[in-house]
Amino acid sequence: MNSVIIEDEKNAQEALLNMLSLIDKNIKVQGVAENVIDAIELINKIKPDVIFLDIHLKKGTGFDVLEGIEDYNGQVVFTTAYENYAIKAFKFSAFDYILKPINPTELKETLLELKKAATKKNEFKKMLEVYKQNTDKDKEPQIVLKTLNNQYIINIKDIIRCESDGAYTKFHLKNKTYLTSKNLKHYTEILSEYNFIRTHQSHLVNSIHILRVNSNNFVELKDNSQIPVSARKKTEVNKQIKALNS
Amino acid sequence: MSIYKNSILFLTFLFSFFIGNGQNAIELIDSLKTKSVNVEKSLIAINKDLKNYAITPINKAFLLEYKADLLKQEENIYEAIKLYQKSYENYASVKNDSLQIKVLNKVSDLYIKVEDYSSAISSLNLVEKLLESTTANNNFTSSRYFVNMAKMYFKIGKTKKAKKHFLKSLKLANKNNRIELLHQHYLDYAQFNLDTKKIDSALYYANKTLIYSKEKNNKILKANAYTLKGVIYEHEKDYILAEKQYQDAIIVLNNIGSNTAHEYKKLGNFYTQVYLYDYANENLLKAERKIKEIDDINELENLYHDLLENAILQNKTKKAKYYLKKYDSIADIQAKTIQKNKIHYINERYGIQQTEINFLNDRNTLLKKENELINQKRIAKKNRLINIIIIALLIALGFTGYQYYKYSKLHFEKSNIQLKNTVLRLQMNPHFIFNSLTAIQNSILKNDQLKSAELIAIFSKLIRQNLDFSNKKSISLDDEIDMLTNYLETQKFRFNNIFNFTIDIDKNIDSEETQVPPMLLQPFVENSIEHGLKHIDKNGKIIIKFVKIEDGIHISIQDNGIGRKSAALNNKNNDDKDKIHAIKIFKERLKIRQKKEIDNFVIKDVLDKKKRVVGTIVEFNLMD
Repeated sequence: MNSVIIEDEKNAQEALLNMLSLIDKNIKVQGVAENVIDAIELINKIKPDVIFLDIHLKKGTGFDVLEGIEDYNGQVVFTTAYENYAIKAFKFSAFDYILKPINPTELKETLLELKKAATKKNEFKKMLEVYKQNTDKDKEPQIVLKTLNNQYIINIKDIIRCESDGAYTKFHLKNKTYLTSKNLKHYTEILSEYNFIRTHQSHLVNSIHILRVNSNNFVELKDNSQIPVSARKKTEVNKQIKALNS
Repeated sequence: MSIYKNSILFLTFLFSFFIGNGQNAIELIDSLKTKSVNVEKSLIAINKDLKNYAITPINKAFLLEYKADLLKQEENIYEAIKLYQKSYENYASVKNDSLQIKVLNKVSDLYIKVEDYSSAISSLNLVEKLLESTTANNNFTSSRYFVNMAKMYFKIGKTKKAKKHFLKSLKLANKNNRIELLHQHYLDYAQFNLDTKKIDSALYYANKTLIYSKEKNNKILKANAYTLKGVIYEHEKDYILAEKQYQDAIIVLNNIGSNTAHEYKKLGNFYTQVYLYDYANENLLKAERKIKEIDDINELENLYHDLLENAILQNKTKKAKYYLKKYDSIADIQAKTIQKNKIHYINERYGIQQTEINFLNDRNTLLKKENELINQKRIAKKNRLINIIIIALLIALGFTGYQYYKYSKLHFEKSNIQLKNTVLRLQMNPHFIFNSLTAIQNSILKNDQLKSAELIAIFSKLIRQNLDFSNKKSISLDDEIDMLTNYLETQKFRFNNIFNFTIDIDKNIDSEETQVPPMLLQPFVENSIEHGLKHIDKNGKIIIKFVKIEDGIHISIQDNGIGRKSAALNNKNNDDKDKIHAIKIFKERLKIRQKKEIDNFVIKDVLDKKKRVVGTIVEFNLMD
C-alpha cells in the first residue's frame, strides 16, 4: 500500500511516519508535503492508495488539496488536532478521520478498514461535495451511505428509518434500501440532530415520517411500516414526538 | 492660456456651424469628439444647433443622441433617458432601423440602471421587433441587445435564460469579428458566472480578456479585467492574488490618467474584509480624494458609508461620528435630488403617455391611466420617504444602541463575568495543546527518552500554571514571565526550533512585587508564532521587553515574522476571527482596569530602512 502524508507540522509528519512503520510493514510512505501546491503535485505524481491529510496546511486547507487533484481513485484519511465543525461534517460525508495525537490502535483499525473497502474513481469528489453541503447551513443536509461496493448521496429528509443488522445498518427510503457497513449507534449519534428517534434497540426513525403511535406500542410511518417501540423507550418516544409536534 | 486657446477653438467652430447652416450633425459631433471639447461647451454647441428650425430629423436625432451620451457621462441619467427617447422617435420617423436599435439599446441600459425593468423590457422588445423586420446587417447591435436581455433576465432571477442570451451575444460578436466588443461581453459574462458561482468559467473569461487587452494595449479593458479578477479572487478567498489584481487595475488607470476612485474603493473594502482596517482606511481616503475630483455625489455617499463602517469596526467613536455626519448630510441632499429627478421622470413619462392617449381619444383609458400614474407617483414618493425615514431611524437607533450597550454598567458587569469564563479558553488554544502533545508523542516514538520526559514536565507545568492563574485577578510579573517561558519553550519544541526568544526585564522593575493580570501577553506571543514565524521556517525571533516608565511598565512584543498584512492575506483558515477575538478580549481586560491603558495600545508593522515590512510589534503600558 502506497501512501503520502500531507501535514504542515514536522513533528506530526514524523510521528505518523514512525507510527506507521511500527504497526504495518506493508504500508509505504512515498512522500510528504506541507503546503497545498506541493501536496497537489505530489499526489498527482504518485497516485497513492492512501492520503493522510491534515486540515490546517500552509497557505490553505486540506480541502483545497482535494479540490485541486483530479482522477484520484484512492482513499483519503483526514488527520486533525481539533476541528469540531469538521468532524461532524466528516461523519456525514463518510470521510475517514483520525485525531492527533494518534492512537496506534485506532490507526491500525482504520488501515484494516481501508484495505477492505473498494474505491471508485474520484469517489472523494462526491464526498467533498456532501462535506461542503453539510457545512453550509442554507443547503439541504445530505449523507453519504457506503455500501459494500458503492456509495450513495442521499438527502437526510428522504430517509424514513434505519434498522440494525448486526454490525451493519439497513436504510429504508421510499422505494429503496441500502445496507451500510457502519452500525446503528454511529448513525444514531449523527442523525439525532435531525430529529431521528431511536424507538427501539434495533430501530432509528425519522420523526418527519411518523404518522402516529398506536396502542400496541408501534409507530406507524408514512410508508405504512410499523416499527416497535420498546417498553423502556415508550415514555421518552412519546415525549419526543409531542415536543416535535408542538 | 489654454482656456483662452480652447475658447478660440470653440468659437471658431461655432462660427463655422452658422456658416454651414447646421447641415451635418455628424461633423459637429466628430469635431467635438476629436478636439475633446469639455462637456459644458459641447452641450452649448449642440443646443444651438438643435434650435435651428431647419434641422432635419436625422440630424436632430444624432444631436439628441450625442447630447444624451454626454449627460449619461455626467450621470444625469433621467435626462439622458428622455433625450434618447426623443432621439429614437426621430430615427423612427426616418425609418432608420439600425440607428433605432442602437439608441434603444442605450436607453434600455439606462432603464436597467434605474431599475425600471418594465420600460427596459419594452425598449428591448422594440429592438427585437426591429431585428426581425430589418434586412440590414445588425449583428453589432444585436449582440449588445442579447447582453442587455441576459442582464435583465439575471436581475429577475431567470438564470438559464440569461445564460442563453449571453452565449448568443458572444456567438454573434465573434461571428462578426467584433473582437473588442466580444471581450466586453466576456467581462459581462464572467461577472455573470461569478454571480452564479461558476468560478472557473468566470476566471477563464476574465483571463481571456486580460490577455487580449494586453496584446492590443487596450488600457480600459485591461483595468476592467484586472478589477473583475480581483473580485473573483476575493470571492475565492485568495487574498494575495486579489490584492494584486486591484493594485494592477489602479496602476493601469493611473497611467492613462483615468479616475481610480472605484478601484481604490474596491481595494479599501477588500482590506476591510481581511480585517486590515488601517490599510482599508488609507485606500478609502484615496478613493474619497478621487471621487471629489469627479464630484460624484452617489459614490461619495457610498464611500462615507464604508468609512463609517470602518470606523465602527475599529472602535473609533470620534471618527465614526464624523463620517456619520458626512454620510447623513450627503444622503439628505441625495435623497432630495433623487426624489426630484424621479418625480420629474414620472411627470415626463406621464406627459408622453398622455399625448399617446389623446391621440387615441379614449377618455376612459385616459382617466384610468392618469389615476394610475398619479398613484404611482405618490407611492414612489411615499416609498422613498418611508425608506429614508426607516434607514435614518435604523442608523440612529443602531448607533445609539451600540453606544449605550458599550458603555452601560450592565454590560460592564456582564463582560466581567464573561471574561472570567473566557480566560481559560483563551489561554489554551486546543490546537496548541494537541499539536504539542503530538510533538511529544513523536519524541517518544523516536526513543528520545530523557527529552520526552522533560517535555512532558514542561508541558505539565504550563497546564498547572494555567489552572492556577486563570481564576486569579493578578499574579506577580515573575510568575507571568515564568509561564510565558514555559509556553514559548513548548512552542519552540513543537516547531523544531524555528525561532528563538528573549525576555528583557528592566532592572528597575521589581518583578516579584509587581502585579499584572495573568496571561495578558500570551495571545500576542501566540499570534507572533502562529501567524508570523510559522511561515518563515527558520531564524525566527521574538523579543519581549518590560521597561520601567513613570507610574508603570511599558511592554513590547516584537517578532521578525511575515507581518500582519501577509499573515492576513495568507490566511484561508479563518483563524483571523480568533485573532480578532483575542485582541478584543485583551482590550476588554485593559478597560476593566479603568486606568486608560487602552490609549497606548498599538499593533503595527516593523519596517526596515527601505520601508519593507520585516515583522510586527505590539506595545502597551500597564500602570501601577
